[in-house]
Amino acid sequence: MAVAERESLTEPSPKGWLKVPRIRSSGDVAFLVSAGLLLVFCFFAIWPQALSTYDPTINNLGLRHKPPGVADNKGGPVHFLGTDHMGRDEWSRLVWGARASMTVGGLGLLLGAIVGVSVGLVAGFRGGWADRIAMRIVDIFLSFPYILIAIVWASLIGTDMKSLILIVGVRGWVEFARITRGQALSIREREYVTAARALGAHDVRIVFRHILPNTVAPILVVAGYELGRLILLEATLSFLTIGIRPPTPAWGSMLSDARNYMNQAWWTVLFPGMFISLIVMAGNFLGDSLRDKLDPTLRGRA
Amino acid sequence: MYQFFTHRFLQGVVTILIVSVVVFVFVHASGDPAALMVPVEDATPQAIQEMRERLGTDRPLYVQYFSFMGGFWRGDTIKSFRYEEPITDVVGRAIIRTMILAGGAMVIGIVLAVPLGTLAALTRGSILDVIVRIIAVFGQSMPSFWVAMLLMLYISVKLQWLPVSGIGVKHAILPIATLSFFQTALLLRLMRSEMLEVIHTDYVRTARSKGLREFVVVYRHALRNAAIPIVTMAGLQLSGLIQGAVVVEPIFAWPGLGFVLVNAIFLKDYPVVVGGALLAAVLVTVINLLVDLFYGYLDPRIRVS
Amino acid sequence: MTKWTVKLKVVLALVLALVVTVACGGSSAEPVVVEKEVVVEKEVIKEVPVEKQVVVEKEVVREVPKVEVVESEKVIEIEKEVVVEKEVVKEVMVVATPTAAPPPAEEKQFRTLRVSQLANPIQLSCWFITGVDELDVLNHVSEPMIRFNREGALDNIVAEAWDYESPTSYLFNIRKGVKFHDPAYGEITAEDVEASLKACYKPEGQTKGRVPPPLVNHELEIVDDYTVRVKMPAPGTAELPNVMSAFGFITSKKYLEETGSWPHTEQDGFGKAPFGAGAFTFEEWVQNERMVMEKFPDYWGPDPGVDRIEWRIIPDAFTRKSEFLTGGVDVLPFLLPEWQPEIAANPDVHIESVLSSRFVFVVLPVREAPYNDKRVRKALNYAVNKVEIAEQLFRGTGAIPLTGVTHPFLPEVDPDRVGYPYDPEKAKSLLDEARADGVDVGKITFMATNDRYTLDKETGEAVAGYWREIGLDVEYIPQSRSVLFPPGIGLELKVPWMIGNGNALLRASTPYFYWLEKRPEPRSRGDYYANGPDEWDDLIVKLSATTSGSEESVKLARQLDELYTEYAPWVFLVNYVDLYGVHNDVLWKPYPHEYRLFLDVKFRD
Repeated sequence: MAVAERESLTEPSPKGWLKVPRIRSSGDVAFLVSAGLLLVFCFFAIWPQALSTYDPTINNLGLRHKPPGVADNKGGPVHFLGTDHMGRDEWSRLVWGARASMTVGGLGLLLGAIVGVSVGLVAGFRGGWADRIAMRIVDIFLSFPYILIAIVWASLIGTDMKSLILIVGVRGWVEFARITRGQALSIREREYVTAARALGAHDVRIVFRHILPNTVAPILVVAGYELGRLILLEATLSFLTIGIRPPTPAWGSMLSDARNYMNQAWWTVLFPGMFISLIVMAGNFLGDSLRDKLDPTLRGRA
Repeated sequence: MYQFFTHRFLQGVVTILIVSVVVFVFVHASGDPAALMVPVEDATPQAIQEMRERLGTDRPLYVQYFSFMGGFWRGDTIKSFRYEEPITDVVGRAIIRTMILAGGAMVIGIVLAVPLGTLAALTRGSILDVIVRIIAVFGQSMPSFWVAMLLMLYISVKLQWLPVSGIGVKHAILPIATLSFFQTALLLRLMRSEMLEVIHTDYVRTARSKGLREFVVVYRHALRNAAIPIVTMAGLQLSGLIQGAVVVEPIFAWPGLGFVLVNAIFLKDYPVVVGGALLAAVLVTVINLLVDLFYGYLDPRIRVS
Repeated sequence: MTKWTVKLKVVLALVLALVVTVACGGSSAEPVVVEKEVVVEKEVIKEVPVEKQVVVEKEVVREVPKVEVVESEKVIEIEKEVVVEKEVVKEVMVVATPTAAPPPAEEKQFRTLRVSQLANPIQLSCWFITGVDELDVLNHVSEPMIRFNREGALDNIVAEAWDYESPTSYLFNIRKGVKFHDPAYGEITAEDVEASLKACYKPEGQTKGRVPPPLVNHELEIVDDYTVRVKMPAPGTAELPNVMSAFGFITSKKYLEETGSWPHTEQDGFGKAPFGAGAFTFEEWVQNERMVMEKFPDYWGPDPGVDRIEWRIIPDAFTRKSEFLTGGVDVLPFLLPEWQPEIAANPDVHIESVLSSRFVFVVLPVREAPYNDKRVRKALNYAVNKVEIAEQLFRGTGAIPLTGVTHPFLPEVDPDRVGYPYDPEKAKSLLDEARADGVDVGKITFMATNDRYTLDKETGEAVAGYWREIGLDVEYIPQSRSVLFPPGIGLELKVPWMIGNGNALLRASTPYFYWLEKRPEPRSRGDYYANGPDEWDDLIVKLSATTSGSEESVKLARQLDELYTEYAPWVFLVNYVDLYGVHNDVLWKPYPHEYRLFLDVKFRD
């Protein structure tokens, strides 16, 4: 999902309906850096074997909590980010941990986007009861601390990858629905939509030809922010020990495991926290710079 | 205005009702409390049935729901399975403590974000702006439990400036700081971008061209318009703050809603879970209602639409 | 501005004012409560001298307890009040004991001890014990008949003497003149003992799964006011002390009648406010925050050396340690081995350690495939490197790799026993053998607690890792004790799971005894101890009848230990060494049985 987004951004589609500007100046550093970071994390997630030096799940109790740069006691490569409470290589776990975060965060985002955009389009375009019901549900989601539902749910359906994606995705659709509905509401009153309708265009055609393309930009902005938010949710659940189970590495559960040893092994606390921050930051920056680029009112004067 | 208020009020009531049903069903779907409460050795079907009768979980779900809601309304008839106390006592006490954290974080967030965000927007591209943006990005991307641990380690253990955990005035500072870190970042960023938008609008330009002093322009014309989304967001963020509290409270052993609810969820103490979630929803809805009213006062257009 | 907005503003202001008032009222409520509580304590002190003069002399002057929560102004107020109270006390003294010379006032300080607890107990009734937190509190307030001391021997507490009458009956002599905390309830008599034991062992109690069925079905006969006879339907009385010291707490019959009943009724006063004749009176329980007890001046036994104990409920381990290092708690149980250097480096605190009566093991469901194959059970044992767990995970605390069922510190333990040394090759070949015979080992689901024992989650993770190393597919699920233990003890778990054997099991026969006793009631806790063949029953009954440490006992115990280990119903792991962090101004030694008893505390000035 995230990859697709970015590629389509840097190279606007030949059709030209996606109104994305080319990268023009050094002012786009933030965008480039965050997109690059996300790409790196995607690479981690897709092909962790390429960069990890150890199997992230194999214990080595003789090498517990060794600081960064320690030599292996069994002749393996240097543990350059140290080892964790089970003697596992911290760097390899971080690399593999990207898979959990990116899968749960990314697929949750995709799920949320599909559901949210559909709901938003229907609500915004149809209006009436569908709109009211949809917006009421959105209100509820916004007014209710979702983490409580997530905790109950996670302890109910168990916490394998699929359940986590579902739990995270259910939180993700709200923002998409809101933004899409807003766009659809304003676009459906535009002249060209009225014109299309007058020419006898079918509703489905109007939605897909006119409304959806015009909502892509704000959806992408929301996606940037949501990615960070959903990854944080996953990390929080893992931290509460109801996320991804050991020994599968996930940044949240790595932090949760390490919290007791903060004074003994700072590297086990610093790095996973940093990685979570980095990926959330990348998502936010992406949202920010997309917003700056895509928001017509801001673009004119910059 | 009257109509607007009634409308929002009814909407709030519906929201609370739906939340109550959702939470109730969810929680009941997650297992039979009676099976957990019966002493293990006696976990015969009869014993579990007796326990169900005692807890009232043998009745149809909708009856349980109405009796629960009735008890919730009356305030004291529903008891926690575990605490041997009415849930409203358990949850009520906890929610006040959580509100202290959330309120503190909210106030700090607004007090810091409004002036700093405004300044950053007015001096767009300056060092101040860059610093503000960095703070905003960091605050939003660091997981709150991580911040909590770092704060406890450095402020309480290394420097020994503040107590580690527990209830009290000094004890509240670190949890509030943790929560307000995220809150400030969020509002800061919003304030900056809103302000940027507002100061380029026609009416601000007009005000400037009238020769008004910059302070007056910003304070009278720009700030008021930029504040509208801030107020909305601050209200909406309440549920975000409670979400943060769920993780931060157990770390600081601050027995608020998060502490109690996480405990209750792990112990399958359903009345506390449902009651707590419901109270949280009521609280958030009421505050959002107030925010809407304030919003209506700030922006007259809302009242008529 | 329209008039609507004006009205609205007024309404808003009112609502906001209301919210603020409520919020402030709520927040300022805390210190007010504390203040009140302190004042009440002073009233109690006032009554003391009139009752018993000897104790009064010790108790004449108390310093103000340090109440952190209260803001500075309020502390000053309290101090003023205390000064007034002191004067009153002195006046009473003069009237009551004109000849007694009061000791120098400055010598005695009011001492508060703060201890961290793992969790907020559900309730404190002896029939609802689910963890160590409840036992810690109960042992101070409502004492048992007998209790193990630091050397593993039995001390008489409420009992003055006791003896076996026959293999199925005991005679207890009750200590005379043991006063309850409230004079209205008088002194402990046989009636109180009968009512208390009945309550503690009542069939519907949560504790029953841990109490042997004979004791649950016991008969209690009152011989006279200070003598009771406990009769049990089956032999095995030798185990009674263990159980009596762990789960039977003596309180007043009258108090139970007035308040006690189980469960979930409005009258369960005991669960909320335990009462008895112990060294401390239960003062206050602030849910999820703390439990407070104060020294009972009329206690029959020696002065505990501390005036007030605060049990602070801190669920997070890192927070507990931080509180300890910054002086928020004086005693830190469940100190992690990893923290030893950090604690040792701090000049204000030190570590106390004791060889624990608790060892941990993995229960294998011997009736389920593939664990019904002995070779699989043995392979799972050989695969685990217990020495590495003890040395690396427990960081040289002295934790002992477990080689059998008998506790390593009992005289019955065979010094030459080897158990299952680490041998992954042997494990693999045993598995291959089993597989060749058509045993499908398949995926192993393995559960452990993450909030009960020292390093429980990590130990489980290590075990799962060793099993993976011999090529097994293992799913490891750590979870809360409140979720894992009920189905585990209730035998609903059909998968391997980890538990510890602990509190006060200081006899060689006890584990087998539990197992023997489960036969009439197969769902009792005992079943997970073993599912060995019936032929062992005779041996167990014989062992139960022996005196601990006798030649006969040693012989039988070693024989059983060998049989049992060979049968491999558990994966043997380690015997703990319990670590406690203690502040340097507190002199206190921990007990092997994991209860934190503060009955002989000394303070260094």
